[in-house]
Amino acid sequence: MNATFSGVTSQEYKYGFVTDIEADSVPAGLNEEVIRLISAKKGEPDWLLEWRLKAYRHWLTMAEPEWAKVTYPKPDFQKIVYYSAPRAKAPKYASMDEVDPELRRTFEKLGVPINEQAALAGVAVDVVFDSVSVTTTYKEKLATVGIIFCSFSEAVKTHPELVKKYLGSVVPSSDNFYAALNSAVFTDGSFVFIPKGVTCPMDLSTYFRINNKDSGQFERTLIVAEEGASVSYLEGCTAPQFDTNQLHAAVVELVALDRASIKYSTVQNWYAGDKDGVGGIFNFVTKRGLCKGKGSHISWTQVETGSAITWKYPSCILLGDDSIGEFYSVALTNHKQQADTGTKMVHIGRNTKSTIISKGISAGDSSNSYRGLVKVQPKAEGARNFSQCDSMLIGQTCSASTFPTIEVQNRSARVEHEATTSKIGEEQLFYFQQRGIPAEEAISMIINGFCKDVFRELPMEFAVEATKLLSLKLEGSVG
Amino acid sequence: MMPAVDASLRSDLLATSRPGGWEPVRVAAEARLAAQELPDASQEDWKYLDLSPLRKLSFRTAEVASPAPAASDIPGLVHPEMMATRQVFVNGFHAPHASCATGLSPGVRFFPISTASEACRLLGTLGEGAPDFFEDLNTARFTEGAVILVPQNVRVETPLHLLFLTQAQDGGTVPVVFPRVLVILDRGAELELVEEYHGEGTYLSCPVVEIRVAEGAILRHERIQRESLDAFHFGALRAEVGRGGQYHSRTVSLGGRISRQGPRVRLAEGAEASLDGLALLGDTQVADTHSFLHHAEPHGTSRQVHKCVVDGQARAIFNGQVRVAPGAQGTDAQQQSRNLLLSGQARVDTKPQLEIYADDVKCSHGAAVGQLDPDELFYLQSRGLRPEDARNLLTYGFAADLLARIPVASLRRALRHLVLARTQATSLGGLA
Amino acid sequence: MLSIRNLTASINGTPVLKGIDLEIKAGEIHAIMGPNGSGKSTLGKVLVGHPSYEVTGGEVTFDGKNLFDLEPDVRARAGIFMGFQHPIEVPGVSNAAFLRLAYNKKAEAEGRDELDPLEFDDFIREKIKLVAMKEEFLDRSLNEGFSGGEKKRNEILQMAVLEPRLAILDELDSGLDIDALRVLGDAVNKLMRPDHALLIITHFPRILETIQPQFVHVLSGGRILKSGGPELAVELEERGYDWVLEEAAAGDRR
Repeated sequence: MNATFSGVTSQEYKYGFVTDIEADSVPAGLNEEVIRLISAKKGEPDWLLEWRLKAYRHWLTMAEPEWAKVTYPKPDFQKIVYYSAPRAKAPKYASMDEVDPELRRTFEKLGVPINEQAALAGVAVDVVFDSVSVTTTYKEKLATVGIIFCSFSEAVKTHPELVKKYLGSVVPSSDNFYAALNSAVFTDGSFVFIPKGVTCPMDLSTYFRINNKDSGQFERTLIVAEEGASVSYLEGCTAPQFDTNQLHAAVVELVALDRASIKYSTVQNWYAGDKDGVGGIFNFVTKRGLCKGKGSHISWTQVETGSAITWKYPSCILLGDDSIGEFYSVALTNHKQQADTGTKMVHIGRNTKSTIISKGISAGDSSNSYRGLVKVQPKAEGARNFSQCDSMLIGQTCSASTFPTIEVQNRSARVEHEATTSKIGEEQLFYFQQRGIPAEEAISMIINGFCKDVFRELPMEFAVEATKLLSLKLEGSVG
Repeated sequence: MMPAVDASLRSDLLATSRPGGWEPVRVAAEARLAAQELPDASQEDWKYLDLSPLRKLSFRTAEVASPAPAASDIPGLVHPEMMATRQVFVNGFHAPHASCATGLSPGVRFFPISTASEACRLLGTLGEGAPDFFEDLNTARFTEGAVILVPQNVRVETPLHLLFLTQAQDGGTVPVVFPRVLVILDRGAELELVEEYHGEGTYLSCPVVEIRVAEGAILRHERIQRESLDAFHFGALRAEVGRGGQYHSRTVSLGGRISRQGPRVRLAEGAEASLDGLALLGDTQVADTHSFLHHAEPHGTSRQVHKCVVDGQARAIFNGQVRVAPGAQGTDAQQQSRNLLLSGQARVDTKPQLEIYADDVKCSHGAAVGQLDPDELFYLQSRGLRPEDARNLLTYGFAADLLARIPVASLRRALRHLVLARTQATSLGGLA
Repeated sequence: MLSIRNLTASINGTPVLKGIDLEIKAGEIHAIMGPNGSGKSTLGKVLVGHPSYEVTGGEVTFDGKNLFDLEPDVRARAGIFMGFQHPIEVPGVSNAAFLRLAYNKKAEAEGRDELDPLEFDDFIREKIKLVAMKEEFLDRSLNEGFSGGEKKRNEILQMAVLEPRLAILDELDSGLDIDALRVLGDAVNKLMRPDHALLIITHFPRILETIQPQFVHVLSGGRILKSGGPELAVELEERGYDWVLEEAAAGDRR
């Protein structure tokens, strides 16, 4: 192997800094008192506290899932801080001017536009710092067309009937170990409601940041699109670099009524730990969309590059006739990262369609698995699924696995799954070099070619970011 | 007269200890069984296979058939190509009058385990991975089966035929048989083996087949499961394929109320394997295939095509794992699971799995569940076929495709007729 | 321009080139001919720095600079191009994007202006006429699913884009029908300049009817056994290779 391919050191994680900010935290540990304290701090109604407690009691009866192809020290749930908020005069900033300058600088450094005049105008942003939403932009403008875009805590206060109606309707509080934990202790997140017939005039976005060393992040996002409504939602995440692991156990629920369309895009760049696997986020997330109405459409696009452990299966329940579910994913693992990610497509309604495109890239000593389920229930006449899962391996010490499960109970269904494995070949690289293209640029071009079918689903500015991110993450990995 | 056995083969395979020298293996299996229950859906490997019908029954070891069956009692199960190279077992016992092994090539040994004056030391030691419940049951309880030894560089021209027949009276306790087969091909040997299961009534058959294909040897293995439709069949197979060796198997599952095939194949450097399967199911049949193909060393090649045709309220399950071990560079593995559902209540669950720990590999898998191709249907109709005939013909073609390369003509013909009957394509006639 | 002195090279420890001497000057066209497995392709790949081959001895200079000090991409930008016998397929990477990146890297190295996608589009549409390639091939993935002939067209298109000073063309005629061979041969001739040079590697003399070399070398067993003018190619066409090998063997015995 020639010298160009080696000797380039890995790009440092550039979001690894810690913001020195005074925090209001509850003591570490989990019991009913802590849950009551969180609920009280947020001034929640009784029904929500009861809902949390019910989830907690159920969680106590559950065991951590073991089936994923990941190994990690089990978190000590009594050592986690379940609530941590930047201390401030007001619980929520009315405008940017009130935001703690230190916090503001943090988000400037991260490139997150919490200022409405910022470069990324045209995207409304809800910013979540540890356990709380610190600011939401463009709220008023969106409200003029009836769109509700605010933090989850705020929605509980201002639109309790909507929250009560939809909370847990897609991911029940008893769904799985981490979803139950989230239901018990979730602290904030975003709430989006797009009323009947409204097309959201701008992309909505939430930016998540874990800052506190001992805190877990348990946010909850709920997006409801009424009949004929449509919205595109973006999610970004980073965390400082600590040599301990932080737990992130989020729940995202999407509900699409008749002919509604929700597009949910994620660029996940939580701190992945160092090259020896020290530190990093445990990312155990439950994301599910319910295509409740006829002709509804939910599309997940994810670019997963961070986290020490990723356990995440954004799914679609295709209940409405003619509904469509999509999952587009790029998961990149390097060094000691482990990812077990994929999707579930459950076909219940007639003529439902789903598409799964998954691209896994493994480098270093990492482990990267696609796990999927396509289920066609007996009444799902005419269900169609197409899945394509490709893996690319870079180096001899990583692994790539594909675990698709197909369950079909209707004979009119047509389900197809294909998977291939390739490597960035020495021959490919050499061909590029012979045409004068340096190895690093060749790799980046090949990787982008490999991920093209997913990147084109991302909103433009996210796609550019994702491309850069992958190249950075892979620097020095080939050869 | 015992045929001459290559000296190295002898020392490798045959211990001079007393018969039943595999006692330690038996004891270990017995110990594992003591700590085990019949598997249930909480175990990932048994998630889709409901064994509860077994729980309602009580079992006993099958007893010897009397009078002793002769060749004339099994017409239609004797293939002219393998007239003098067959061993027949009835109800788990060797049936000497129904068997005939006078046509073996020099040096080849093919005999009932019970008549072995020496114990086969390799028994219970081949292959990788923990045995499942039924395999342990066999190891702990088996009394009979067959041993096949082919010495170095011997190319066996005539295929060998292994026939396991079980006859059960209905009512009362359910007889159980534990066929055990050990096949050893020494370096450069070549063999074709046909392994068939037939029966009547309700019984449980738990066969275990162990295979070693040494360096450069080639085994072609046809496996025909035609148990009675009331029977239960849980089979395990372990094969080790040495450097540059080849193991090609084709498993056709037609019988059994609940059946399972569990082949596990390990490939050494440059070895090749094909592991094809066809399950043709109707009524309330459930057939499960759990395969494991292990590319343990570099430059191996594997091909797996598994097809299921499911009618009635039947259910087909496929779980095919392909593993490419660290360092197994140059592996070329392809796996396909293809499924056809013929009725509204039929069901298919398929889970192909690729686990890859080496980067310079060519691996792919595909799975498809669906109906017949509408374009193909239209094409046949445009040539004047009625829609149902076109459907039947294509269904037949989907299944029979896998039978085309069965080398034993009479077996191939018999299976084609069966498939034709099952796909209701008899009206088309003359295809097989 | 290119000077090869006693070059030896091996692959996986097996010597393939056993002492090659060759001098190529600006304006010259050389042909390397020889039976299969003679080391012809190896010579080309070693010159452009293929990682599978190890240079075990000798030296090669290009414009007086030691070639082996340069990475493959630096050699390419310095003006050495190889048209491969079996160009590799790269799924997902569009041919046009690849060509533009290659063009811009060279332009950047030479201090010329890089072309934006629109400018490049105009530029490449002119170039593809030269090789009679259909425009749709620009939008397809690099070489993916191309026929043997289409791949060769694409190789010469790349040559037209990069305008190398030294082009090494390895078995250009394999996979080409007679018409396509004429088109590509003419294209190569049109791309030739007084300050350029060509090294044609071929088993069959057929291509030399279109691209006419001044110098012909017979390579076998990792050595150049015989060199001559265009008449040598004619003789090889009539008599095959055996007589050269016999002559050389006789020479060795003496």
